[in-house]
Amino acid sequence: MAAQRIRQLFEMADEIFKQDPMMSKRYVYLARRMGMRHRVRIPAELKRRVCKECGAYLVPGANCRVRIKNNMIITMCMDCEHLMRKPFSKTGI
Amino acid sequence: MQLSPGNLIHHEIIGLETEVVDSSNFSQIGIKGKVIDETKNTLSIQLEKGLTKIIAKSHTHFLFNLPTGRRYLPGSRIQVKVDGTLLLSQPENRIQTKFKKSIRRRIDL
Repeated sequence: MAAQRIRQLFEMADEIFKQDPMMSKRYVYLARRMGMRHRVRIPAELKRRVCKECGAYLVPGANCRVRIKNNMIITMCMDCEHLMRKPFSKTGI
Repeated sequence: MQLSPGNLIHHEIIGLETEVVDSSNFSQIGIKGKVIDETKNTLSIQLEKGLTKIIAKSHTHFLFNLPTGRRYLPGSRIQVKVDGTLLLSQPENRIQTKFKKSIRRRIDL
């Protein structure tokens, strides 16, 4: 049930982001706390939507910048200017 | 697990439509809206006009509108009246809170 609630909170964070980015930050905070309490991982596709420094919900084009450089996905949070780097390999080509 | 009247107190409350039906503070009775935030002791409810009201959970009864899914008859409305004292804990701790049977009966269907 914890995993389901985490997904729900992220969905709501996405919905409310246009009107109130601070509220979506709060939802992400609640979701992360729920994962920590019940030892449930936050799914990988949602994990990269959160800034590791300030915990903001990131929406490409609104408050984050996504670039590919040296086989790495580099996400920059425009609120705190923190860089998140995630390497990937060219397998399957 | 789908949201049902039985597991409402362990489930996510943010996002549900609710109404304050009973309270020790008479001016709060009748407040209707969407729950947008939750803390240990309070729920904040957004009214239709856009105002937000912060309401204490204790000494208050809430009437929640559950979203209708495939499981129930389409178009039917399911409302659950919950004593706010059952919700008195932090949102991430509510999953595992246990109550005695006598207290559980206070959830009216």
